[in-house]
Amino acid sequence: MLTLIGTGDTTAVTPQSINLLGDFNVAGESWIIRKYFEEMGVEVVSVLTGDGRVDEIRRAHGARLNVVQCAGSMTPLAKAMQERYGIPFIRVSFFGIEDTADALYRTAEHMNSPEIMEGARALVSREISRVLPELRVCKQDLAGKRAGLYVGGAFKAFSLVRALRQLGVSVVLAGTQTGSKEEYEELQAVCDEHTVIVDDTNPLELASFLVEQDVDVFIGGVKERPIAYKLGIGFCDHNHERKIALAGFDGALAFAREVRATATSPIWNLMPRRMRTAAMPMGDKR
Amino acid sequence: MSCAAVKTTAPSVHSSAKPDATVNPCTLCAPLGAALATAGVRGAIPLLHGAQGCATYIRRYLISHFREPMDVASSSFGEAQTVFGGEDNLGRALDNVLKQYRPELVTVATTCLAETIGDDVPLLLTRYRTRTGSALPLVHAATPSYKDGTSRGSIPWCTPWSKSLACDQGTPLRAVNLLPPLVSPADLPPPP
Repeated sequence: MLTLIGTGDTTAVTPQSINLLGDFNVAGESWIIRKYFEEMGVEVVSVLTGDGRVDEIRRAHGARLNVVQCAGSMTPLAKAMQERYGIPFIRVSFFGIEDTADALYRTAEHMNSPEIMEGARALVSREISRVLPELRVCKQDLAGKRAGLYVGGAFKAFSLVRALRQLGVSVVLAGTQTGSKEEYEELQAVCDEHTVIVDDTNPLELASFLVEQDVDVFIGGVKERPIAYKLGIGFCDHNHERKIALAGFDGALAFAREVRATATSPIWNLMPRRMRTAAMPMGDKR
Repeated sequence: MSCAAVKTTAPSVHSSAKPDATVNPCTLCAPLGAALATAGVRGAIPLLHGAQGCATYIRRYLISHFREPMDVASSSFGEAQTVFGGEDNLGRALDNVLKQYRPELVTVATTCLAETIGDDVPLLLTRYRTRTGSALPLVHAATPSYKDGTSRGSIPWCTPWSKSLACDQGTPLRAVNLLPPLVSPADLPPPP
């Protein structure tokens, strides 16, 4: 990347411009995010790498700020660009309404332009008032549900914990494949006191914690889906093979709908471990 | 994104002799063949001797194929094992698998990495047996993917399997062993 960056003409790049690092355009997510920035008046010079163009990458050094989504894969490049071209970077997430709003505001702050900040405010308040009513309905239906999550990177896990909390779902099991010690400390800080935290786990361990923690909905990758279904647990995938975008405000809504649909599905009441409690309407849920 | 932006086309019928879909797309990974062959034996578990990514990839592939949880163990090479050999890691992997899964058989298939550094897996397995006194069948399959592909990956597995498990029982039965290449459960009729 660094061989390519710096070889293009940046005279046409505006001062209010960014590169989006670590967004891979899964289910068209880069297009959603790009649209937000364009509406705010921020130019997206390049996306590294999702729907990328060689010419855009050549001009990436002309941007004012690097906005890093996947920190694991792109922090080294962001640091190298900071060193070589003096471009600062911020770590953001576009998962969930809180994180998306935070990402847009923090980018706007760096642009040093009242118009862009005003644009961000207008966009965030319009989008939140648009999606909030349905998110509230999902939250009502999800009250008291318990979630487990096992994902690749730690930053994805932080975002998921926040987004699930927004939906009134408590995370009782959380883990990542590649998290570092510092990232686990942060994960512990965003989770509740009784959350079980696992690192680079195996299917047996995962399955036993899912049952032990009485999880209602599990969020993981391709390999975890059959584990959840075998145990009679709802599942929502959060991986690179998704076909429905989870980024931004519409993505937050899509996520809420999916979690609600799977966690509240009546099919799980037919599972042996639930049938016992379902037959006793007055009894404790567990 | 609005749905109106998505261009829809009527499904077209293809009649060319060459199919559009890829049939058996993954043909180059030999340990996948060994893992698949192992998956067809009750109580058997595959253990890949090498870096973790190989086991992850094969799990991901088999899980999507069967839509069932499929476990593949790994001796989880790092840089140190790549340089100094993976005996300690293999021992620990076997200890874990034996303790957690209580398998009836473990296939130890080598990845390209373990093959390239020249880990002598039959020797390592003999040492493991001596050290632990375990009588569990440990089957070694040499499966470097630069030598053979998935279909043939099951053959080196099947050959040592028969070598290490079969013993002379006198008069041959009037029966055959079926050692098929890459097939899906749909290719085999259910038992009567």
